[in-house]
Parts: sequence; C-alpha cells; structure tokens
Amino acid sequence: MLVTENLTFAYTPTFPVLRGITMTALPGKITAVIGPNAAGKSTLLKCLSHMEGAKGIVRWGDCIKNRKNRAQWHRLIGYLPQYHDMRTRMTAFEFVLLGRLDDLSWRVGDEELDLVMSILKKLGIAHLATRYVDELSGGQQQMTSLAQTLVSSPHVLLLDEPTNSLDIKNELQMLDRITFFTKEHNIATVMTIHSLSQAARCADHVVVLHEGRVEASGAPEDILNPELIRSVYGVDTRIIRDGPDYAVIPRSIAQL
Amino acid sequence: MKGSCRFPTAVSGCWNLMTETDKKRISPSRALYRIITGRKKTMLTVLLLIIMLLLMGDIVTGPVPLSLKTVIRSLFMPGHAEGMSGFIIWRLRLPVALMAILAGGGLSAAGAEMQTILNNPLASPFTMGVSAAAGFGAALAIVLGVGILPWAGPFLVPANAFLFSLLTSALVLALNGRRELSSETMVLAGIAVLFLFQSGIAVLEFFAAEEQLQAIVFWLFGSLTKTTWPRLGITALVCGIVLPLFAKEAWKLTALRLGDAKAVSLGINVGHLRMRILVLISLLTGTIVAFTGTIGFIGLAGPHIARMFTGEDQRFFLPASFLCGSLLLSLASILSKIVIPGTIFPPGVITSFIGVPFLLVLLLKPGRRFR
Amino acid sequence: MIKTVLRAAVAALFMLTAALPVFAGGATELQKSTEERQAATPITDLAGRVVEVKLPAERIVLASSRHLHEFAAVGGAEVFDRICGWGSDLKLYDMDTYRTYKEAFPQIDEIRDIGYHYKGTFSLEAVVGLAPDVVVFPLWLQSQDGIDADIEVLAQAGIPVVYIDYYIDPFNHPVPSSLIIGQLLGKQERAKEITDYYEQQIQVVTDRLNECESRDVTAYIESGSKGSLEYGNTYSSAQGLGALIAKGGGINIADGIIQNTGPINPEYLLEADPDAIIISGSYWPANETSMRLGYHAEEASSRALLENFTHREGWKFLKAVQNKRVYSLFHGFSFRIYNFAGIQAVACWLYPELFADVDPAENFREFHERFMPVPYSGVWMLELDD
Repeated sequence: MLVTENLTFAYTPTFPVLRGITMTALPGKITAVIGPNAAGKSTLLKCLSHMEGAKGIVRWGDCIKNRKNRAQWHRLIGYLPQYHDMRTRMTAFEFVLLGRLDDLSWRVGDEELDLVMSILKKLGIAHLATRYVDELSGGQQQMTSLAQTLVSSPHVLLLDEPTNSLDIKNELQMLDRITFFTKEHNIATVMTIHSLSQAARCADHVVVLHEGRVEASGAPEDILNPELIRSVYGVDTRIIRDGPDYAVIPRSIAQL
Repeated sequence: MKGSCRFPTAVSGCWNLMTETDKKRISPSRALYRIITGRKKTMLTVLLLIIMLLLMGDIVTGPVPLSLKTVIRSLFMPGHAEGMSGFIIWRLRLPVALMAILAGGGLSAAGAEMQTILNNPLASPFTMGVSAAAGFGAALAIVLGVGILPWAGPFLVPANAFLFSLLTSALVLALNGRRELSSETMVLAGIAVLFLFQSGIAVLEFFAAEEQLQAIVFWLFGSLTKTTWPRLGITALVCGIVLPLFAKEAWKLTALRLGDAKAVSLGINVGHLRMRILVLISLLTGTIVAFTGTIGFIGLAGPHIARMFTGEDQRFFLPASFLCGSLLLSLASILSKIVIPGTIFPPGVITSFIGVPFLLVLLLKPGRRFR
Repeated sequence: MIKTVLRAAVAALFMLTAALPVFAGGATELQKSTEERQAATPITDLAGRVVEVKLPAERIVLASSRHLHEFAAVGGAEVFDRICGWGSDLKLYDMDTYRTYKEAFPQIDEIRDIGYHYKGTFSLEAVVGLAPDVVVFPLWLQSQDGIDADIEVLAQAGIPVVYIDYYIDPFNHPVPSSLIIGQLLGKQERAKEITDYYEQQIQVVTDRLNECESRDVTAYIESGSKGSLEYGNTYSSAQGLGALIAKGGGINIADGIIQNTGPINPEYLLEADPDAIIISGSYWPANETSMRLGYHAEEASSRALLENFTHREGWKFLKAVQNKRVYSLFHGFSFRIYNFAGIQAVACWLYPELFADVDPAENFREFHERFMPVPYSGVWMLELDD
C-alpha cells in the first residue's frame, strides 16, 4: 500500500502547498482526493510520483521514496497529469508504446508490441491504433493517455482529474475502465476529481484536502455530508442517495 | 528498514494481459507495427535515393562544363582521372558536394534535437544564439585578428567561430544557475545570448574597414566553397561521434515530447538530458558553422519536412531529419551554381528563399496542426 | 548486438569519408612536366614571395580586372590576347573604362568573368578551368580570410599566384608592381619607361614641397559617389584618397576623426573649415547627383555637378566655398599607375603659387597618349573656378 506520513511541500518558502498530509491508498481500491481548487491536490500527486523536495515520508510498503531509489520508484508509478500536450505527430500505438520506456531498445520486442495491443483492446480503442494522436477527439485522447499510463504495469496509479473535459459518456467509460483495472490488477489508484458525485460513485475511499491539510478521510458515505461540504467548499448542497446512485446537488453559496 | 526494501521488479510486475488468441506465431501487433513503421522506412529509403541523385548532380554542375561520362570515370576509376577534370572533380567539387550532405544533415539533425528539447517548433540550431556567437567569433578574427587561440594562424576564423559557439551553451547553462533546465528558461537564456552577440557583431562592424565588413557579411551568408578534405574529415568525425550519441537517447528524446511532467514520471532526468543534448548540439553546430559560416533555415525546415513523413519517433525522425537537411543543402548547392551562370550564389541565401515559401505552405495547409 | 553493429557501421562510414582523399589516387595534385618546370623563372612579388612563373606569361588571370589600366599601359593592345579571365570589378565599378576599351577592343567581352573576392563570388574552379600560366592578386587580398587556401589550391593545380599592389601603399608600390607586370609580359623596357616617367613626375612635387617652409593648408576630400544630397565617405591619411592630401603637402582634416574611411560629421566639417575641398568623381550611374569624371565626362556638365555640392546646407559659410577653392579629381587617381596626376593636382590646388608652372591635366594627357592603348578623352580633373 501507498502511505504518506506528514507530507509537507512548498514551491517557495513563502508558498507552502502541502502542510502535513497523512493518508493511505490501498491496492485494489480507488482513493479519490477532493477539495477546492488550489487545495494542493495536483501537487500531492506530483509529490507521490516524481517531484523532489518534499518533507515527510512517502512509502510503498516498507520502501521509502528517496533520491537513491528514483529509478525503481518510477517503475512503481503510473502518473497521468492534468494538462498534457497531445499535439505530437505520433500514432496512438506509438504513443502508448512510449509508456514502456524502460523496456524499449532500438528494435522493439514482440512482448512490448503485444502488451500495447492488449491494453488498447481492453480500453476499447484498438481501432484507433494507427490514427494520429493529434487528430483524436478529447475523449479518445484521454483514453489513449490512460493506456499509456497503464501499459507499464504500474502498482500505483496516480490520475490527476482524468475526467476533466470529458462528456458524460466518455466520463463514464473512463471511470469504468479505471475501476476495472484497479480491481483486476490490484492497483492502488489515487485519483483527484472535482465532481463530488463521481467521487461518491466510484471511490472506495475519499480524502478531503483543504488548504494543504487533510480535512477528513474515509468512505464516501461517511465523509460526504452537507456540513463537511459547506465547511470546505462554502457551498450549501443537498445529497440524494438512491441505492448505488449518489448525487451531490449544489444549491447555493453558503452564508457565513 | 533499508534492507527490507524490495521493489517489485518489472518482469514480475508485468501483467499477463495476453489471452490465448493473442499468442499467435506472427503476432497481429507486430503486423500492425510493421504498417506504422513501414511507411517511415520507405521514406528513409526514398530520401537516400534522392540524395544520391543530388550528390551526382552536385558533382556534375559547376562553372567548368564536365560531361557525365568524365565525372563517372573520374570518380570510380581514380587512376584514370585525367589532369584538369580529375583535379576539379576531386579537389574542388567532391569535397563541396560531400560537405553539402554532411553540413546540411548535421544542421538539420541538430535542429531536430533542438526542437525536441525545447519543445518548440520554431527552434533551430541557431536558437541559442549559436550563429550569432559564431559570427561574432569570426568577426573578431576578421576585424581584430584576435582569437581565443592566438596561435591558430590561418585557422583563426573557423577556430574562433567554433569556440564561441561552444560558449553559448556554457552561457546558457550558467545563466540557468542551479535550477532545473526547463525549455522556457533555455529559450530566454538563448535570446539573451543572441542579443549579446548580435550587438557585439554590430560594434565590430562599426569599427571594421570596408573589406573586413564585406568579409563579415559574406561569412554570415555562409558558403560551401571553402571546403577542403581535412575540413570535411573533421566534420565527418564530429558527425560520426555526435549522431550516434543522439541515437542512444532516441526513446528518451521521443518521450520528451510528452511534456516535462510525464517525462519525469517515466523516470527521465529531464534537466540532465537537455544539458547533454545541448552540449552535443553546440559541438555539432559549432563545427559545421566554423567551416561553412551560418547557413540558415536548414536547421528549421529540415526537421519539419522529416516530421511530416516520420512523425516523432526519434529512431526514424533523427535519420530522416539528417537526410532532409542533406537534401536541402545539396539542392541549394546545385542551384547556387546554376541560378546565375558563371557565379556562385551564396547557398545560405538560397536556403532562405526555399525555406520561406515552404514555411508558408506549412502554415497555410488546411486542417493540419502545426507540429 | 545488432544495435552496436549498426552504430559501428555508421561511424565507420563517416570516418571513411574523412579518409577519402587517399582514394583520390593523386588526382588532388596536378603534376607539372619537367619541361614546364624548366621554363619557369623565379619572380619576387610585392608580398615578398618568390614564385616560379613561366615567362613570358601567355595566359593570365587577373583577380582584380581594374588592373587592366596597368596591364594595358605596360602591355599595350596585345594584353587582350593574353588575359583569359578576370574579376568582375571593372564592370561593377568602372563601366566607363570598360566601355572605352570595348570600343577599341571588342574581344574584351570574351574574357571570362571569374567572380570577385570582395563580393564573395570568386570561383576557383573557373580559374583552374582556364589553365592560366599565372594569376595576379592585388595585395589587399592577402589579409582576407581563406585566401591562403585559394593560393594553396592553385598551387596544387600548378598555377602560380603573384601579388601586385596599387592600393595599400599607392605611392611606394606602383613602381615595383609595374616592373613585375613588365616581367610577366616580357615588356621590361616599356615598364621601366613608365616607372621612370612616374617617378619624375612625383619628384617635381616632392622636391618643391621640401623647399616650402609652411605646409599648413587644410583640405577635405570626399568621394562623390553619394552625390550632393548625401555625405559620401572621406578618407584619413591611411587610405588612398586621403593620403593624396598629405602627398600634396596638405593637412587632411579627417585625420584623428575618421579611422580609415567613413562619412564625416557635417558639424565637424563646418567647424574645421578647410581651405580647400576636393570631391572625387567617376562614373557612378546609380546616383544622379554623383560627381562625374572620366572618359565620357564633359566639362560643362561636370562643373555643374560640382557646383551642386556647394549648395549643401551650411556650406555657404565655408571659406573654401567662398573662395571658390572647390575641386574635383578622378576617383581612381589614388590607386592607379597614373596617381602622380592626382598628387600633382592636389599640390597645385593647395599651393597654387608654388606649382604655377605645373599642369597636371596636361601631364596626365601626355602619359595617356604615350602609354595607354586607348585614345584620351573626357575630363579627369576640374576646378570650380573657371
């Protein structure tokens, strides 16, 4: 499991972003990190993935992330940033192949090619394999990026707002595939998401970040209640639960 | 704690995604990949053939009319190379033609890597102010007879040009301080260096006598006609060292195109990579510029043309860039000899002429994204 | 494994290119036959180099075609049978002369244009293709980047290069240069005649100036190429035209202000207020108001052009203009074999009483009629005051 203990990070001395985050992400479970903009969600993911200069501990089981085991650490992680440039002249197949960077030599082996093909099939984008990435739709691009992240067989999946600009169908497909892979391959998935409803729907565990601190963490039904949302977001909401469905409906900006 | 840390290794962490139907003898994924890479390989072959034709053309054209038969006999049966034709072919034309290929290819390859590490389609090997620095070094040698190596003698101008080009990468690295090398800071530092040396050239031009001024101007135009066999050999050697070193990082460089965040998360030390490649680019560009002056546009246009056919996969993009650059400069060399009969037009001017409409076509082509 | 092999192959290919000259099988050097070597005579050129040239030279290439003036003087009409190629500068800068010579010698058009170093268009290949006996370089080429490589290549092709000079030191070098031309053409006697006449004419000026006590006449000289509307270059005493003033006994106001050459600051000119002003003239068709002298110039129209210059802003306050001490002389008088005329002209204008009996225009005409193969015509020096 992925654990952080008192993780602190500041871009500049006067600009602290994370102020002592302690959280756990279990394999086979989706952990959603929610919170207002600038709460530090993206920064948290970056610190978990590759960023240096954080104080506190980030560890996978007994292995602590530090400067020396950089090489092995990144093999553990699959990271999908929020903003990434898809304007490159590559086919989707080549794009996904890049995810296997460590195992690529001048002549690409059969094993790598097969892995790419399988991932593409499993994500339902195999028909896009020879299409150029910069010509795909937003949803297709995002799925391709997910494929690239998954192809390296990570044990930890760090996704920064994976459904950000997707329409309702693509969003559903994306979350569905993420859930599938998390369960199927026992990945510890940490996902930042801004849609509270979606977080409630697919997350096994929710961490609420507010001003760089963990405001609350636990199962979505325990955490997501109007009082918490009001205190963190400053918004009055109504929560509707109907079986597996979970909707967080914003009503008005809270009067303080 | 330390001893008990065992990261899951790649092999054991590799999921078994393959179903039974996937495991065929000739895997369909290999077939698909062959389609993707097939057209790139074809392109490379075609480029190679065109270049060989152009090379022949370059050797055949010149102020002294020589028949194709004479040229072929002289090239392939050097023992029979008769007197003056043989001299002209082997001493005057062949070095120039080969230099066009090496210099054009080298500049284009350097440009390809420059565009890659700076993530900027407008980057060229001259973006870091390399051409301005080289020009300044040359101008310094021309006007003041002063160089970094005072004993360089007749090699003062090229030696100075070369050393000053290397200086740019040192300056860019110094200006960056201990911060991580990002493409934005590199571009900014490069612009600062560019202006620094351009004003330096202006000052030298102000104090120069008229012949020196003309010499500087023509140095800045670029020319292939000063090529000698030793110069060609040095250029070939530097290419032979730098290009394989580029190739070694092929996959990492391709991954740079995914953006810094993704590249770092894939385990690439982006800052180090940029620095290494920058040094290699400076070495390659500096050598070429020292011998040919500043021939513009090839470093910018060559990679763009190559990318249209091979995409970003560096294993194909790099050689294709080299070949496209060779093609452009070879063509320019031929044109420079025939456009005004009897005179040799500076090839640098021709490459700009070819380059401008080419860029316009790129920009105006409907539907195509600019990258 | 394959990767390493491939890389090694690529590297080897590049190294091979570096080693290619070995396969050239000696085609990179033209061997001269023993007879040819025996016919060669050593000459010492203006750069002090000792060069073996087959004399007299039958096929000559001039890197600067403006040396035609000197070669025509020494060699007469038959130079046109000997010069097989030359630089583009005569046509570029001295069309007047070109046309005059073309009238008398239409075969001038057939002389091969080999480009011009100053323009960066010099073609080694064209020169080698002409298989000349000698190539004549002006001395100012020596400091140019890459010129040694050119000489090296020509040497490998068995073609000697000889330096002459009328530009860098226009007063001490013309005599030895003309004698070298005489050697090359096999016209040593004629060359001696010319240099004797030249030295004689110069001596007149130097002798009298030495006797003169006060030599404090100031002068300003400007190239008339830019016309009356824009200030053309003036020259310090380090450069041809500027040095004429010193040779003529005057003080050049550009000294100390201008490095070699450049346009003067008009304010400085007004402040310095020189005693005499000289505008050089030639054939510069690009500019309408440029000063016109030469074979096809006419006195009346040239004088009118000169007068235009005096209408420049502020010039009416200059004492040179008020005293009508404004003159014009041919631009080429600084660096041609007949620059003695320029020196004499300047001396006469600056010290009219001292040189009252010297007529530089007449001396130039005499030289021209004695030595040049084309008829004398036109205007070569001019005074504003009729």
